[in-house]
Formats: sequence, structure tokens, C-alpha cells
Amino acid sequence: MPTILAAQAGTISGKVVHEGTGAGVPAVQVSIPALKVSTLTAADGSFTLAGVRPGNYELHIIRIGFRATDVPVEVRAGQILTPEVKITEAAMALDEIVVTGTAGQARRREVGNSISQVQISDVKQPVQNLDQMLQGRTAGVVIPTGRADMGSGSAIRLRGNASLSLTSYPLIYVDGIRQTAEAYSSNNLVPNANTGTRQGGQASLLADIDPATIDRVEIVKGPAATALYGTEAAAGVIQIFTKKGVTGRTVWTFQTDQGVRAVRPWGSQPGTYYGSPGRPAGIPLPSSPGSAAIAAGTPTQACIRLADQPLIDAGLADGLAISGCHRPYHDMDPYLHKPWRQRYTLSVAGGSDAVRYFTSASGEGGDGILPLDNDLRYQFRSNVSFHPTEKLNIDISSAYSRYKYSFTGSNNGTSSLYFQVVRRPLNGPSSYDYRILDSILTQRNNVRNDRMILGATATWTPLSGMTHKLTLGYDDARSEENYLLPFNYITDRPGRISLEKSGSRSFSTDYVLSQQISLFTGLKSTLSAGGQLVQRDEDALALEGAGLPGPGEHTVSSASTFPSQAPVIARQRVITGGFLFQNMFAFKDRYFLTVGARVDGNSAFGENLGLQTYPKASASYVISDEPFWPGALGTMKLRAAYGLAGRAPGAFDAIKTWTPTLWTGGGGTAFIPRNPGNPDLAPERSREIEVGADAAVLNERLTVDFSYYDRVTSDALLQIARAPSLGNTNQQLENVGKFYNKGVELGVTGKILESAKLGIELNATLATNKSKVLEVGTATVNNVQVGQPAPVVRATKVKNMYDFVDPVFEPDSNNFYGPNLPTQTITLAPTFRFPKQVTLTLRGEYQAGHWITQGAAHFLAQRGPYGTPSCDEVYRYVPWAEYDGPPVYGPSARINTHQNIDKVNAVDRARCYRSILQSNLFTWPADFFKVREITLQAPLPFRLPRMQTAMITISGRNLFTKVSKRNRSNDPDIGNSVENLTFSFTDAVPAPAEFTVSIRATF
Amino acid sequence: MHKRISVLVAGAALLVGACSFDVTNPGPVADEALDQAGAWDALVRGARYNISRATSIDAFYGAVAAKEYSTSGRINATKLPLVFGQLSVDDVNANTWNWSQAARWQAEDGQRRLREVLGSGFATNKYAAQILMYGALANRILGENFCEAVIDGSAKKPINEYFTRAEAQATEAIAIAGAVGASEVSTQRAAYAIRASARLYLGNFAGAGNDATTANVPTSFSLSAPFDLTTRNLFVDTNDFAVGGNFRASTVWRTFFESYFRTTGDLRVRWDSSTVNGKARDGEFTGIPWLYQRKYIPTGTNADYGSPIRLVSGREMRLVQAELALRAGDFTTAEGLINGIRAGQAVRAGSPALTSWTITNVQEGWNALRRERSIELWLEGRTMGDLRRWIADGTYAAQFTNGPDSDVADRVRMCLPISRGERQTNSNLQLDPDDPQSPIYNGQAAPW
Repeated sequence: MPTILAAQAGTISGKVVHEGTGAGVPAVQVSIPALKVSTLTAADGSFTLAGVRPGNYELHIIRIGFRATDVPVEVRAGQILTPEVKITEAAMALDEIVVTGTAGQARRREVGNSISQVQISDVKQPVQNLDQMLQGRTAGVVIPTGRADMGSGSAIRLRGNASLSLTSYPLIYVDGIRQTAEAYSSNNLVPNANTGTRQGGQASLLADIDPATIDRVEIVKGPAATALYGTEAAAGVIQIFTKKGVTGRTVWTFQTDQGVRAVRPWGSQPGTYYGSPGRPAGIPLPSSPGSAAIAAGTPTQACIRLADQPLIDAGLADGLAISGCHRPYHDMDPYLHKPWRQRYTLSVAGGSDAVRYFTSASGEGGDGILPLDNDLRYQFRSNVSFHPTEKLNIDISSAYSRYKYSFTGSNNGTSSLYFQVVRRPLNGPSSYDYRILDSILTQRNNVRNDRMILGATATWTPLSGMTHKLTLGYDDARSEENYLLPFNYITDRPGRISLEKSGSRSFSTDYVLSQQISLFTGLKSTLSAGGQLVQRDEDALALEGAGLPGPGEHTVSSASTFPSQAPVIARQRVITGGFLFQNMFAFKDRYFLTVGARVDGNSAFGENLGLQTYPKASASYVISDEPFWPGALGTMKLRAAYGLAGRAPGAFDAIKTWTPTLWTGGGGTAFIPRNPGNPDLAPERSREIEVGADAAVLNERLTVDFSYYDRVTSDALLQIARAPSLGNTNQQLENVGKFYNKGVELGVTGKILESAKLGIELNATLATNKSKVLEVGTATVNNVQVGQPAPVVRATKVKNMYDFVDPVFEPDSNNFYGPNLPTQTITLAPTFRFPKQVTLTLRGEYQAGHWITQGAAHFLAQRGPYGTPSCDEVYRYVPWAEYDGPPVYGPSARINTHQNIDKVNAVDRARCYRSILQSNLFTWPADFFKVREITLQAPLPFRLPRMQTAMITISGRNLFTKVSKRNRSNDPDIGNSVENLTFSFTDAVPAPAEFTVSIRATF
Repeated sequence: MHKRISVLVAGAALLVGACSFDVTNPGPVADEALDQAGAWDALVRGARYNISRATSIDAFYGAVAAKEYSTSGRINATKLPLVFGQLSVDDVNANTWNWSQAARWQAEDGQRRLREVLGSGFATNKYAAQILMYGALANRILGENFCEAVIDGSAKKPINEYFTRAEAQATEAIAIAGAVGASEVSTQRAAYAIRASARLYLGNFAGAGNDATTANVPTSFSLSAPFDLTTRNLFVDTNDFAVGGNFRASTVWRTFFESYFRTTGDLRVRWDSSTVNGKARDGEFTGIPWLYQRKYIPTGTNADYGSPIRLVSGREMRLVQAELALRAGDFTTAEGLINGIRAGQAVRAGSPALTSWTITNVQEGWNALRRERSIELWLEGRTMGDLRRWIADGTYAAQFTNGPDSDVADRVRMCLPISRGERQTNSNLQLDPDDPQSPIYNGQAAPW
């Protein structure tokens, strides 16, 4: 490395470039440790350190993903040094610091479990939230795209479900501060809320974290890594690290995203018939009886309304046949918008040796897919770091977000647009005249979510090798929801109004002491010990009234009656506290052994239960550091980890209680039994063994990250029904279940082509998950069955599915179909790098092996009036209204007289006509492939004054979906709400595709 | 250094150990709180609340079996077996059993609690009288509507177990209400009426006669199950008349009451077929006219959800007296009692006053009694029990010719089944081999 000469009080103004490509590398930390000065490189790799005292120094260059580099410099007074420092990518950065799952912090080489990391700098695609940022990037992480309705969040699964009855959402930490909850309005304090006027999805608290403020995310997926988080960590931990300021000049960053959303067709398509396997593919569509032959895709009768003639109602009396119809949007066409969305972010980062800061503000909003959908989100974050003394560092962070949105009713309810348009129930407009259907849209559903996170971390290093770290956190999430069905509403003439307020606050205190000791030559010990205390307070208020005095603006107090529930005002507190210790032994810096444990108490445990212990042990072996390891084989680390973590029951689950119910008709409050009580109630305990290896070979052009995990959850909580004759039909949670999840995770990154002008990199992941329920005690839960996956899809089955006769049903109404969560997930993400910093990234995700049930299709087929789009191909043979199926119900059931019924197989006869027996015949394989990302990024061709860098990104998300041929008419990626344990189709529109143009510039 | 670390670790452990995880959250009420006298008003009301729920659902699902109603839809509809047999557990809402048992359990658990807390004061406590009366009533409801008895997770017992318990609890309620005095006269009257009904099932006709006197239960007396917009009278809810009409599960079509109301206008069995939300419609089953009851739908508004269902009445006691007269061969007294009930009964505007039944012998008396009870107690959850009782003691075969329920008793066992939940969770019950998982699947039964 050449020595660079300079003179008195000089300046270092250089550039950090990629060794292979020669391109400038942004966000590289450049520091002079001796002077405690540092800065970050700009987007073009340039940096400046001004006012450097003359002398000889080491210029320390670090960036995650690159090898640390030290450059000697000699600074002379009045001179400007202009070094160009080349850095090389480190495919496997063994000395990179990680913190999640360890007490204190550790180098990656010391950690015995897998830690996935997502760097925001690696995410080229403009993302609106963390769900999008993590989706399809890490093996073992499943995040459905969700639904189109405004405000709906997604469930997150790490290695399948971690519980049979509680949520499987991972613990979320933001800069060491524990997130208060998983979703808004998620506490169970208002048991009957949302049954009246509200029909919508659940908003995720993760959406409050502005992706523009995220630096990186660490993910640990199971108890082998999360034992030190204790009672709540069985489902894994996601830790978000936000951006910090760095010493040096002030850098302003401005970004705007402009985009449009559009729903892709998810319903029945023209000209296809794949409903009756056994028939040759591509047979001509038959004639509808009594009418002329219908060409594929020709809209007829009911389909006319789809052809932009929304006012036609004539001739569509109940029972009229539909023929040759296809409903790619389930008749929702007139209501599906293509909204324009905007997002603006401005941040500033900088600081001095004494104080560093990062501040960001963003605003986002626009209309949604559905007619009433609209939102506006503001987010602010500020991080400040300072050194009161040389040995003390204090980080203070604050964040606030407000999310206001309106949505169109969805789900299975009378104020749901989808329900009314697609299912045409009698308790609604029940019309094909869209002028009448439009009357549904006089409803109002307004939500406001406010979130504030405050945190402070003090890190004190009184002695070499000793660190005390104290973190205080406060997280407050509040939601106010106002719903109105106005006076003279079409499904509720008196009108209905409700107000729901819910809040969730967490106070958390974490303290960890770490002490490193050299025991003898080559052997070091790092002891960490500490404790954590988390107090979570929840409150809720729900009021609903009916009978409004007339048109106009109202509050709930304007209502004349309280029809569906008495006012609810509730609050509860849960306290979790634990003590943890960990000792890591390091020998020759390549053999590592870590042992530790956490001991927890929790206010929700049964009174007979004491503290719970969660032990952990892990080992790491950097075999490539052995003398015998041939250098040509690259770098390799072997690892193994074992640990336990828990999942706590709810605040009231252990206690025998009664519910005071306001019973106006009975003249006052009535006590009715609530929880039977279980003084022995304990947390679920998940034990996980994980083994794996990380390797970088072929001159680090290929990196491989492999893990095998085996997680067994015992004492799993399941609701146990008691004999109704014992008086209380409410079920009681008991620790009776046991199940396992096991699988492999493989992440591969290969540099297929790397040159100064062109580059091709391929990222691929493969994850499998096999689960099986081992014990359930006396619990009777339909989707939790011994010997079957957890959860399982069980449904009615037709014995002679593909015979062209009437259906013969299996005698049991619950037959095994398969797991409800994907058993295989594969992602492929090639990135192409072209000259002039132009990159193209593609990302596809394939999920397979699971099944999903579509209840809405059943209701459509059963109650009509026009059958379900899932059967449109079948209706071309035999119209919905012309066949009642086997004579099961009612005197009006007709026997198979239709001339074309012999062209419809047994399962389709059972599914598609009104006499079907059970709701579960619409159970489909949920396999799908989705193009998650197509992103083109390039420098802007022009620069404004003082603009340092400017990039333009054009990106598409979820542009293409391919589903199983046996899955007719829905998008399995619709998933379910944030906290749901299962995936299922609901009365909702799938999430739209998105097309976004983004410009990001620094000044 | 090691010492310092040890001290810190020990300190941290001590800190956590010293943490209190005891949290008392408001909202759900701890069981111990119900031992306090201030909670008893709500405790008794809870027993009554469960009786309301049980009455509504039992009456609704039993109405088709008793042919007070016919099925016209598939949601919330009762389906009768094609061949003689029991109503399927798959076709009868499990809450018939669950809520009825909850009503019995809560009243009897309340009795236990009050006995423990009050000691000797139990015998003069008004809440004791009330909760005993509700316990008796809950047992009568179970006995009249279900096929077998199960008490607190026991094995199956004969149905008379319920009536025996009803009789015992009513007897104690009568005594305690009497000791309390004037404030519990209604409780005492209700207890007499409940005991009279229970004694009919137990074959204690003399005892029933002693209870059913005008002195004990005046003709004007009644006790009803109240409802409101929260609990809702299921007859109103399921028909969805007031809020839109959707499932249309039940119709008066082709029942005795269709023609009886048409010809007499007797408002006790009022039904309607006019428009619902502007659309006069068939039932959900194509071709079945939806004639919906108006007994519990007086206004056609949300207020109808609060329509009460009668549980106990002096008018019923007069019919009990009529039955006892017939059992004694005294059809003349029975004629007077039965026609006394009809006298002055309100009729539809424009209809002539109700005519009296002419009874010239015992058999005519039985048929008139059966008809009048079915009219008087229409949709109150009583008729199915009456039929079962008369079938069991031979009256049905010996006395009845044609009646409001002409062919139903040949089609179905006149009782609701033990729920599948009870069968699955009660280790003292075995799943009967002939208890269908679903008779629809195996083809042995159909709902029509």
C-alpha cells in the first residue's frame, strides 16, 4: 500500500472505489481512529476529512459487505490529499458486528446460529414498508403480499408457525427497543368489536417504520438464536437498525417515489377450461342449451355488465342462467381504480466528533384501489449520538408517525363492497345495477394510527474489555377508528355509527454487562449478564350506536340504540421480566463456544408457575482459518446452535373470571361465566437445534449459507373445550400441544460475471418447512390434528372427483388436503450491471406445497344468484341455475336432467351448484410464482446545483403471478391478516401490482 | 475484576427476582368477587340471562320438529330426518344444548355459592329464592326440550332427572319466597307454575293440580324471558325481518297455524306474507312461500329484537287444570277452562271473535286441549315437550286424531339432541354408534 504524503493542518479529499468495477462506493465509513474523526462517502464514493492535524495516520475504511482496509497517510499542513482507495467485497464478512440474538454484540465468526441481514443499500427497489423490504429476500421468511384494501398489513412467518393458537409474528426490535404489538387494534380487550360497521383488514405496526430511515435489518429465525429474548421469542426476532449520523459534512438526501397501482386479473379467464381433469385439454367450448354456440371469451348476459355497461339490470332476474361468462375481476371491475401514489422523503445526516445526528421526514399518500380508499402518512425520525465523556456514548432516538386512511368495507359483512358486489346477498342492494350498488359507498371508514417511539441507549466502557449497556425504550401505538353507515343506508336504514380507540404502550428496560477476559494464550472469555423488564399496557374503548336522527355529521352519542354491543372500556397490563447471562469462549479466534440462559417471569403465567428458564448453547468453527485448509477452498465457517424460547399466554388466560354484561332487557348487569381458569398455565416452550455452514468459494465469487433446523414446541397452548354441562362453554387454554417444524435454508450468491463494465450477480434462496403435530391432548381444533402439518387444511372431499357422475362424498367432512403454509419457497434474483452505473434487478418468488380454502366461493355457489367465478368454465357446460345437483336439500332439488351434465365431473358438480353440502370444497393448491421485482436503476442524466448524486429507479412489483392450474380464480398470495395463524381467501381484492418511478438525490 | 462481575450479576439477578409480576387487571371479574352480596343481583340476572338465551334457541330449533314452523331455508334451519329418528346433532345448533346447560349450571352454581356464603340465612334470602326458581325453570326447559339428561359432566340419565331437580328447586323456592314475603310473590307464583309443569312430566298429577290453582298462579300472571338488541329474540333475528331479511329459514306455510290464522285471525298465531324490504319473496328454497311469524314482530323495527318469550303463565296453568280434568274424565270442566282461555282473545281487525270449542266427550276434550295449548304456547318452546309427554304416556295414541302437528310425531323423536361438543368432551358419554356424524352424508336421512 503506497504511503501518501501531505503537509500541515491538511485535508484529505479522496474517493473510495470498488476494486472490481472501479465505481465509487457510497456509505463507506472513512475514519482516522487516532483522531476520532470519521465521515461517510457520498454516493459517488467521494469523501472529505478537513482540518486534520499534521502527522502520520491510518485511514480506516469500513463498510458492511466489504473487507476492512487501512491506508497509511501522512498529512502535512496546507496540503490536500486526494487518495483513491480501492476496497474489495467480502463475500463472507466474518468480522462484521451483529447484535441480534447475542448478549451485547459479537463478530459474525463468533456466532453459532444463522443471522440473516438485509442492507437497505442493497435494496434497489423503492419500498413503502418493511414488509416489502423483506419479502422474498431471505430464506425462511414468508410474507404474503396481502390484500388491496387500504391499511392492511401482512403476516410474517419465520420458519412456519411457532404456535398452534397464539400469533406467530416475530418479536420486533427497533434500535434495541421492543415494539409494543404486532398490529393496530390487536389487543383482545374488545371481543365483539369490528362486528358491526367495520369490515376491513388489520394495519401492521411495522408499517410505521419509515424504510428510508432503515440502515439494516437483522433476522434470527428461531429459539436456537433467540433464547436470550425469553418468553416472547419463539417465533424469531427481527431487529431494525435505523440510520445514524456520521462525523463530517452535512448530507441532505431527497427522494420521491411516484407510482401507480393496478390489480391484475385474479378471477376466471376467457377461453380456458381446466376444471375437469380427465378431459382432453382444449376441447371446444360446448353450446349452452337453448342458445347459439358461445365462443371463448364472448361476454353474454351477465358478462355484459363487465363490458363497461354497468347500468344493465334488465333480464337478470334471479335464477337466470349465465353462460360463457368470465369474471376476471369477480365483477368488481367498475370499482377497481388505478391510483397514483406519491412519496417524499427528506433526510439530513452529519455531525462532529462530539455530536452526530440523523433526521428524516417523509410523507406518503394517495388513493387506493377501491373507491373509498385513501391514505396519508407522515413519518419523522431523529437519531442523535454524543459522547459526554470519552468512555460514555449515548444514543437517543425518537420517531413519530401518523397514518390516516379511509377504506372500503371488505370481508364477509353487509357493509363490504366485495361482499355486496360479488355475492349479491339478499340483505343488500342485491342488484346488478351499479347505480344501486353505488349506494354501498356512502359508508365511511376512517382510521388514524399514531405511533411514537422514544429510546435512549447509554454505552459505558469504563475499562478495556468491559462494556455496560443500558437501553430504555418507550413505544406508544394508538388507533382511532370511526365507522359510519349513514342514516338511510341501504343495508341499515336507521344508520349505524361506531368509534373504537385502542392503545398499546410498552416501557422496556434492558441492561447488559459484557466483560472480555484473556484466560491464557489463545483463549478468551466474554461474559455477559443483564436483565430486561417490559411492561405492556393496553387499553380499548368501543362504542357502537344505531338509529341516527337523520342525515348529517354525528357522533355515537347521536344514536338512539346500542344494537350489537354494550360500550366497552377496558385496559390490561402484562409484565415480563428476565435475567440473562452468556459466556462466549474463543480459542485461537476460530473455535467459539457460547453458553447462556434466560430466566423469565410473566404476569400472565398461572399462579402455580414459577420462573421459566430458557438455556442456549452454540458453537462456531472457522475451519478455513486452520493451517491445513487450502486457500483455494475459500472461507468456511461451521456452526451449530441449540436454544429454547417461549410464547406467553394472554393476560387473563390463567384466571377464572366472569364477564359483567350489560343486559338492558334484563334490567341491568348480568354476570356470565368467562374464563374457566388454569392456575398451571405456562408459556409454550420451543426447542430448536440448528446446524449449518457459511462458505465463500471460487475466490469469493460464490457464497453459500446453509442451515438445517429442527424446532419442537412443547406445552403448546390449545383451547380445550369443557363439557357444556359443566356450565361454561368458553374454552380454556391449556399446555397440551406438541409439534415440530424442520427444514433447510439455503442462500446462494454468485458473481457470474464481474468486470469493470458488466456484471451479473445471482442471488437465490431455497427454504423448506415441514411441520407435524405430535400431541393435542383433548383439544379439538379443525386445523390442528395429530400426525398432520401445523396448521393443516382439512375439508370435504369428493371420492370420485374426476368421474363424470354425481359426487360421492367422503363420510367425514374434514379430510386431509395438506399444509396451510408453504413447504417450499424458492427465490431467484439476478442483478445485471451495465456501464454508467445502470443496474437491472429481477426478483421472483415461488411458494409451493400448501393449500388454501376459499369460503367466499362456496357461498357464491350455494346462494348465488349467479354462481361463483371459480366455476365459470363449468357453467359454460351447465349454467348455474339449470342444475341443482344431487337431491340433497329441499323439494326443489332437481335430478340430473341437464343435457350437458355428463360433461361436468363429480367435484365440479359438487362445487358449482347450489345444493353443495359443505363450505370446504373450494380448497385449492396454493402454489404460485410471482415476479416480486423488476427494477432498473441509473444515474440521472442531469445534475442540479450542489447535487452530489442523483439516481432514478423504475420499478415494478408483483407484475405477474402464475398459480396452480387446479387453483381457479384467486391469488393465493392474499394471505391473511397480520396476526392470523392461517392463510385463507376472504371477501377481499388481492393486493395490486405496483409501478414506481423514484428519484433519489444527495446534496 | 471477577469479584466485581459476580457482584453485578448477583445484583441483576436480585433485581429481576425482586420484580413483582402480580398484576390485577380490571374488566373480567374474579370468581371470588361473586361471593360478595353486592354481586348477587348481577349473579341472579346472569342466570336469567342464560335462560333467555336458552329459551329463544330451544324454541326456534324445536319449532320445526313440533311443526309450529316449516323449514324454508338452509341456514339456521332445522332439518327433519326422512325416516323416524332423532334430530341430527349436525342440524340442530349446538347452542340449544350449550345455553340450556349454562342456564341450569349457573343457577345451580349460584345456589351452591349462596348456600356457602349465607349459611342459615339462605332460607330467608330473596336472591336464594330467585336463583332457585331460575334453576327450576332451567331444568324444566331442559326436560321439555331434550332427549336425555346430563348433569355436570355425568353419564346420561333419564329425562326425568331434570324434572326431579326442577320440582325440588321450585319447592325450596316456594318456601323461601314465602319466608321473604310480599316482595317475592312473583317468584313464588312462577315457582308454583314451574313445579306444576314438572309434576305433569313426573306423573304427579295431584301435585300438579295443587300447584296450578288460580290462587297459586292467577290467570293474569306471567313471567317472560326478556331480550334486547344485544341478546335478541332469535325468531326475530333469524328471520332478519327487521334488518333486511336474508336467510328466511322458517315459514308458517303448510302448518296448522297457516290456515288457523287465515280463518280465525287469532293474533296469538299471527303471521304475515307482505313485503320485506320491498321484495315479496319466496323462501330460500325456491317455491316455498315465506310466511313469517308476527308474534314476535309487532312493529317491523329493530325494537322487535326485544320481544319477550313467555316462560310461565297463569293461562298455561288453566290449561294444565284442563288437562288434569280430562285425565279425570271431566270434559265439561276442561271445556270451560279451554274456552275461558279463548274468551276475549284479540283477533285480526275485521275478523269475528273467536268461537268456543264444543267438547262432547273426553277425546274431543283432548284434541281441543292439544290444539289450544299449541295455539296458546306457539313458538314458546313448549309444544315439542307436550307431544313427547303425551306420546310417552299413551295419550297421543289413544286420544288424538288430527291436530296441529298431525304427522310430525311420526317423523321425529320430539326432543333436541345432546350436542356433539358434550359427546366429545364428556368422558362419561360414549359416542353412540347410531349417532350420525352426519345423516346427510351416509344417506340415511335428509332434511326434508
